[in-house]
Amino acid sequence: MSAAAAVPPRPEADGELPVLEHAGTYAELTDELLDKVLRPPRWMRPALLLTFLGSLVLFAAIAYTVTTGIGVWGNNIPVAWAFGITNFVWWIGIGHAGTFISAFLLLLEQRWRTSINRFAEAMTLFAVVQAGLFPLLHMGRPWFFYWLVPYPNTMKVWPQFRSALTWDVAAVTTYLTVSLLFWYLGLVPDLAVMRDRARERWRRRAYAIFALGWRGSARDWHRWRIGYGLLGGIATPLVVSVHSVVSSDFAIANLAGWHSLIFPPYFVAGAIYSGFAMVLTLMIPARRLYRVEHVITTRHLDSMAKMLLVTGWIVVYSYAVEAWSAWYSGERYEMYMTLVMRPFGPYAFVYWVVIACNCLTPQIFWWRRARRSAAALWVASLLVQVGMWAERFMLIVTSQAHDFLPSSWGLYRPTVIDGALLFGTMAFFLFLFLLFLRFVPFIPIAELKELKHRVATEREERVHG
Amino acid sequence: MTSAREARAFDDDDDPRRRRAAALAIALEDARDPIARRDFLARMGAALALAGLGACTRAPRQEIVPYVVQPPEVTPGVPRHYATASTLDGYAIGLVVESHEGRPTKIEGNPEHPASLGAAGAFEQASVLSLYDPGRARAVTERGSVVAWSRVEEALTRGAWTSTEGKGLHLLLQPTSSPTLAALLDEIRERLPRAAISFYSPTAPENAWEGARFAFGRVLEPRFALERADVVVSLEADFLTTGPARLRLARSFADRRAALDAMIRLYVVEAICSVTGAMADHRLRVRSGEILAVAAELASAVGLPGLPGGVPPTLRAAAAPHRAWIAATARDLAAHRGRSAVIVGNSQPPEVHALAHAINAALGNLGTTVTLAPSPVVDAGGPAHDTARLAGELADGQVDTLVVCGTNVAYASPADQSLGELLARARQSAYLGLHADETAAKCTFVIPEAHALESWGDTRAFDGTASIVQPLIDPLFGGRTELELLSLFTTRRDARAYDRVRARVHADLTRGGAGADLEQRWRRALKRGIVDDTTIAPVDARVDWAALAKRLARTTPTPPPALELVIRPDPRVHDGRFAANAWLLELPHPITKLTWANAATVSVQAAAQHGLETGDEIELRASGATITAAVIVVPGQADGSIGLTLGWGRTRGAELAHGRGANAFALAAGVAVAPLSVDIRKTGARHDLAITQRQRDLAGRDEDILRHATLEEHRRSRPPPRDEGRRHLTLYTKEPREDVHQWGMAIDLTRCTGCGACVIACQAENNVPTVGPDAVYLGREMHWLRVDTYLVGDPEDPEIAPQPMLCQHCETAPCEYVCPVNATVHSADGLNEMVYNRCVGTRFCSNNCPYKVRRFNWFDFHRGEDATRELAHNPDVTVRQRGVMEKCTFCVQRLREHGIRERQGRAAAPPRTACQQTCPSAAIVFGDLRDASSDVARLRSDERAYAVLGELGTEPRVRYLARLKNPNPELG
Repeated sequence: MSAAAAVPPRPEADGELPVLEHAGTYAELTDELLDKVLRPPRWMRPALLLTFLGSLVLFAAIAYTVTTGIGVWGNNIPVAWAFGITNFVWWIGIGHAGTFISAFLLLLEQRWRTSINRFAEAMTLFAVVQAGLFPLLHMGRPWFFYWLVPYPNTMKVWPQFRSALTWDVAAVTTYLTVSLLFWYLGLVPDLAVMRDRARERWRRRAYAIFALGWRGSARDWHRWRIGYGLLGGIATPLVVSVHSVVSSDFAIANLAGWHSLIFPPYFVAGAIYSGFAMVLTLMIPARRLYRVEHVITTRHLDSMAKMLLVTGWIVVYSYAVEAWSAWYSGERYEMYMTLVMRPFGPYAFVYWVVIACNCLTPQIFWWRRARRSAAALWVASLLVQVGMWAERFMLIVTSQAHDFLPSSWGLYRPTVIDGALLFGTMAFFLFLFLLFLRFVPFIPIAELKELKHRVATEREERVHG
Repeated sequence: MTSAREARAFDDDDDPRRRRAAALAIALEDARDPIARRDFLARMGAALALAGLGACTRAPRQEIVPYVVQPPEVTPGVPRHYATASTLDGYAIGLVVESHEGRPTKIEGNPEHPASLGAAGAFEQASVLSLYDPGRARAVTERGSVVAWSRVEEALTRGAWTSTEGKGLHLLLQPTSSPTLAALLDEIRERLPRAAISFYSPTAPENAWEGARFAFGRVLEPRFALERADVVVSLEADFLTTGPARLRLARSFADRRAALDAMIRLYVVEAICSVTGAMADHRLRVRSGEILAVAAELASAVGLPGLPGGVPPTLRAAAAPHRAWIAATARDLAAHRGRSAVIVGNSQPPEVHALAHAINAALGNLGTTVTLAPSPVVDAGGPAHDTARLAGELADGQVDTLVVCGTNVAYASPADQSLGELLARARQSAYLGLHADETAAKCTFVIPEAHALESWGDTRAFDGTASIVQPLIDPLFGGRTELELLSLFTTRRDARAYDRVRARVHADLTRGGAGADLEQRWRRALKRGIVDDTTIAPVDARVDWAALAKRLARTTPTPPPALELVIRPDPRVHDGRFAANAWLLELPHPITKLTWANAATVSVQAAAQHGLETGDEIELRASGATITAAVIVVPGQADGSIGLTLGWGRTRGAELAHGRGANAFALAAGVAVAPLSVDIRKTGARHDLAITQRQRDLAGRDEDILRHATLEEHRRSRPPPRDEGRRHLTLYTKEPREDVHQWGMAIDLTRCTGCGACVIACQAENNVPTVGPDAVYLGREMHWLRVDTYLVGDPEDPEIAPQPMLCQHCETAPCEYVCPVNATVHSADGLNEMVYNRCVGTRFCSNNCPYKVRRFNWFDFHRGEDATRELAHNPDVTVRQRGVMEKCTFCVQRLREHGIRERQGRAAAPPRTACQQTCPSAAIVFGDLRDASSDVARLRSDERAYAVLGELGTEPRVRYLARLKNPNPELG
């Protein structure tokens, strides 16, 4: 723990809390942040082992599903999509926060994004990896997944471009690719530092490969900046497009409760909502365990809480509009679904969990004390994630369970395998995340020093100007 | 491949029987390998073809040899059809069986047969699966060890009875109408006059025979001509799905139902909801035990002028609460003298049958809508149909040799006789059965029975029309027929069944005055499936009023028990004989939609009174015995009745059904017993019942889904505005094609009874797998065609309205545009096609199908299939693998075959779908919509026609015709 943390928080120019509370030199900042990777905390090894074992549960469940058949899940007719697609939408939604923070907030010149952007991007990447598993696994014959990709083939058959599932493939793979590149490109300067500082030879070799021969020359920095900016520009619209496309999986169908024009913005808002919650869920413990409260400051917590409140309200508004338009349409099936089946039907419990977690929880952030309390935020972030998962489950399952013909109404009950897949992806996600914490600087060192410089310059300008 | 080499080695064997058995075993083995299977089919085909089946002049017991020269009558890939018949409780249904290279795969009704009229029920449709049941008895055994047939032959024909003119020999058969068997039994009686022959079936119409004796002084069976009737009253008669003329009656009833200018009216009095009750315009729910009173009251209200002293008031007393209903019904009957009919169910006591005969006589219906004729069943109503003598002699140890043919008496025996226990008292006993079942376990010898599709025989329909039972295939497991086994007790021991049948039919034909063309007429009988001039002429029966009056005066009505148990044959397994058949086990019960079990049915009010709900387990205690059963609440059932069906709770010989459901035989002997007094107690246990439709009401969506009205309402209402002119906004491009057929279907809900025959027909035609009770419980049944049955109106006494639901082949199909890989596409002739080998199984199509008719292969459902079972597959239809979606194709294989024939310039009858073909009430009509004169086009433009969920703009190719009823205005 450096002495820097003892510096009392000084308000910034905009009257907000400071985004960085570091009083030392640049070199000290570099040393401190590198130290987190070069000398991993003691809990790292058991944590990795634990999450790896959890990941094995996932792999076992996948192997069982693929070898035996999708029937090991609880899905049926009418509920042909259930946990699998719920998990997919949930994970991909979580993945939205990273790009939102690094690209969107970059464009909006929000400086508080710097300390957490790499963290959030890594989370995005790993969440998209989890998400990507489900569309593959939920297929009856996953070994033919590539038929959804337009590639020249001897069958002379293309995918069906009217289906939202083909858009999904394009959207998700694009998102994964761009997120990966964006994250990786941002990492390059720090990987070079790791290459220079790592103790063992093999580590230096490994980092050297990934550092792409970075030398820190002005030309390197120049090119890097252009590339990073360009990728940021490309990534920004993806924040909106991916979840809009995912929402079309439902919106283009004719089922009551799915067939709705509000879905794209509603899903995007929900995605960012759950994504921010996930960032908080991971960040709050990491910040404490790694003792970086002076880098990821209360200011960050405060801003994130406000984001939760805003996106939470968009979600609340979407719920309201959905109910209102169902009633206003006068359409029997829509009204039944939105006003009867969901709140009072067999899955009513899920509905009320959604309302409690997604609508009520963020309201505590009207109070500043709650916004600045790590504990309150952490609990709230968990609740929001539970709520968002439940929301997806409710949207997906209720509409199928009670559709047009009462004769085919049926309920879905998850099986152990369904549970194992959900739990397993969580473990695998954490495992990947821990690997990330273990091997790369999770706070962008170069960018942070730049921020430090700007903050200092501004302060000087304020003092002298 | 080692097995193939062994096969060649066996070729050197001298004994043809051994060689044949070895070849068959190897062929079955090879059938696991798809290429070897083809080889096998060729060999099977060759065997049958060379056996002369095509010419039907020789028995098919021949060696299996490969084609050297392809027989002229066999074209690989082109199925052949043979006429035969199946028998249930002694009465025949004429069938036409489709055979692919010697392998029967599909059963249809014989249009020329009077009991079929081209239709087949679920039992007949499913019998092809029983043929290939790998669980069938395969070897002749003595106390469990395999023995040679000669050993059985020797043992059975020896015994004390040989020196006592047959005393001590007892033959127990199923009721039969077979003229050949009757002749054979006569031969036995002649040779061994003291041998005892008896017949047993728990569902034989003994009460009806006895009732006719009360009324007419002799055993006669009523035949109903519903096509001439305007008003029909059923007293617990489920005549649309049970009884020897069920298919014919369903057809004639439906024809008169759909004739809106002369619509038949149906009154049903019953305790347990039946298919016929669901079709009733007025349904009076009373306890089964009170129906005698209702019949008496009805007779009294109609007026029996011939009956001295009239109907005794004591008999009628219990019907007092229903007097108004009965009076209105009687007035309606009286207004339709000579054009009405009263039909009584077998479960009702003879007195009710006699009263119905009297009412029919008084109304002048005899000779017009009701004709009476002697039964085609051998010894109908005679003492041979009573097993009491057998039970007595067994108990006294007087039976030396007992031969049981086909009737699983140890399971389905009268509860008070417990024949199962007594079987062991015979010195030796032999059981001829399809399965090693409960009876087999108690008998000394078990002889595998040849399935009807493997046998030569003959049988008669309800009106006496004789049919020849032709084998379609050599017995798969070396089975023997009843005729062959019983021949042992005649002087002509080795006479083959074929020779006996041929001799018998020749005799009939000769009597009919045939001369030189005898052979030709024999062939004609084989080809048509019926033997000319064999109907039993109706007799001019007069009611013996004095005897009837005496009889009624002697009848004292027993006060009905507080809670009665009403036992019914099961619509799926009948009396348990079909319990090894997976198709029937998975067929939803027409009323409760329960699969893979039976359950005690209770009314809403009785359920509330006893604190029961669907899935609870109860203990039923009656006549000193106790069983447990799951409960299903059935709105519309009589409050004081508990319903239970026969045939469940099997323990041997029907592996799939073991331990499923409750064995009603433990409480009662069959359906012909008076309702039992029963006590029930909730045990607290719960059952996960595999019910395919849990939501029974329409949730107020009647107009969108199932339109129903009374005839009067329909006449008053103006035809709904046709929305032809309305411009639908759509993103679809539709190309109306005028150059090819445009297939479409119309389903008349006024005709449909919901019997479920179409479900099995579809399953047989399209290789639809069964999934088992657990999967049905999860909602994974695979039926391409299901029958939705909704409860409409009063929640405690609702109308029961069935609706067959299958792929609607939407012109703008919601499933098509959501498939990411183009696996479901539209054909030029208007089919929504499913490309199995392109499907990756995203199931989006199912989600987007508003009719939820798509079925998904959650597992490899065909994987565990035995090689024998695989023979039942239709070779024209893909067997779907795991992970792909499937659904109704409008029997595309038949349409494409039709198309090929057309292109070849071979005139062909319009193609028919399997469901249409088998529908007893002709509710399903399929055809080309371009042809304005076709039935389907005509029905589509009927003012009752509508599209289910038409508002969604899916433009389905299936149209439904609203369900109309014809209630009596007096009863409202």
